[in-house]
Amino acid sequence: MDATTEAFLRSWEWRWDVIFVLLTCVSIYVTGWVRLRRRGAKIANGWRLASYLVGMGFIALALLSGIGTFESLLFFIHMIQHILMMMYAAPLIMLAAPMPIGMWGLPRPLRLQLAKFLNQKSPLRQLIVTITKPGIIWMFYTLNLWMWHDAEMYERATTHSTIHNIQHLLFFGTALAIWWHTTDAAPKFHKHRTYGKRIMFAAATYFQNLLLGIYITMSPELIYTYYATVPRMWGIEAHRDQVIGGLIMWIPGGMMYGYTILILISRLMDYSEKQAQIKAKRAKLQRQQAKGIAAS
Amino acid sequence: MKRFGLWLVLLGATFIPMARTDAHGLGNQKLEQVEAGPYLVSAWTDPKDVSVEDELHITVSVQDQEKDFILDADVQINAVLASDSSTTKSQQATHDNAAQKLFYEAPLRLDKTGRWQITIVIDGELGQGTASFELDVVEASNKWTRWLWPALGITAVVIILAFGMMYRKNKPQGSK
Repeated sequence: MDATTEAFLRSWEWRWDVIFVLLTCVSIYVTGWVRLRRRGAKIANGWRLASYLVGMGFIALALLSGIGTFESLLFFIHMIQHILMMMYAAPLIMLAAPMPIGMWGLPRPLRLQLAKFLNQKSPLRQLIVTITKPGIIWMFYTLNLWMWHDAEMYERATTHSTIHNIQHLLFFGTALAIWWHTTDAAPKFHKHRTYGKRIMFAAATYFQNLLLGIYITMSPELIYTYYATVPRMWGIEAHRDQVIGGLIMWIPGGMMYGYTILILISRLMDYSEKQAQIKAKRAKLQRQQAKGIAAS
Repeated sequence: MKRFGLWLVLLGATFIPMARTDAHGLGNQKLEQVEAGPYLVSAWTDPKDVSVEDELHITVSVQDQEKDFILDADVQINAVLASDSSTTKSQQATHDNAAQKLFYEAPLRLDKTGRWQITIVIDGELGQGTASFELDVVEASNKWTRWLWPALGITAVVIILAFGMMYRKNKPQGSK
């Protein structure tokens, strides 16, 4: 192994702010999961716990490992970091039903208070429903993603740690909202999300991600000039680094949406098939009943 | 109100530590691959605006002329106050101090205001080299970023309190 790779693998930064937030979230979720499991609730199953822990593991990997420390030196490492958080951690966490399970991890008075805040008629819930409608979320997610990839904004985030933290919080927050709709995860505050609507939503998100990836990959000029000023690792020049980063955003970044669309199409087909079978059964039953009436 | 108090503590516990988040970027670039004897040296300082109260981090990258990283050099940081050459600070830069283990980093506290001359002395297998830059140190001031996370935390608490009050007002009488 060359010295640069070895240094990359050893470059873990134990950021206690990140560790504190991750440990708090994990402890609340695991407590809730254990409580629900003891009550025999089906929601607290093994794969949900695994999904949550793996999702949190991806966040830790993205922020604490060499990926987190070398993102200021290589553009493609920065893109890997964003993809880990937005395309892997966010859907895995949403699939784990963090809201209902996490609520059970809170002390009882707090849980009851939160449940009151979020009941069907509460203004907080109405506000959440209004500002998290799929169209609004899609627009906010897209604007946020494109805004931070503007050369000037990108450089500000890369050279200023507070702005960088805000960027990561916005990326992760909007990604959670996108995957909330796509996976149809609880809490189900919005009107029924049909498979068709979810497929269209995922496709629209995939499309804008694809455009941004293609734009960065195909750009003949160096967009992020900051990277020309830092020492180059593994002999990767700044423009080639940008092309690799764009490709990562374009292909592995879009792949998760692609898989999601395929899964949703297969579920839609299953659902349609089941509906057809139910209709056929009903028709048969009606014919039999009609025959019976005629015979009697 | 006890419950809101609990909310406040929880939110504070989440947001306030973030106000002291350590910088994980490189900071302000002072040298960009300048020749220092047989080496190419880059250097960054963090925070960007240094005050007498800040712990200053100086990160140094050392490469040979083929731009391969030199990882086994001895890197010394010397700081001299321009207006008083008897005021000096010195610190060894090491990989252990650096978040990126390709680089060398040294923490320094420059406790006098004014212009400082920072000299990086590199001693390695290829020989010796020095590079230097100037740095202004100012009086401690209230930076807006220090207050950003607590301000966001307090805003969140105020919103929750407002919703709590609205909810209580709207709640039909006699309902539990």
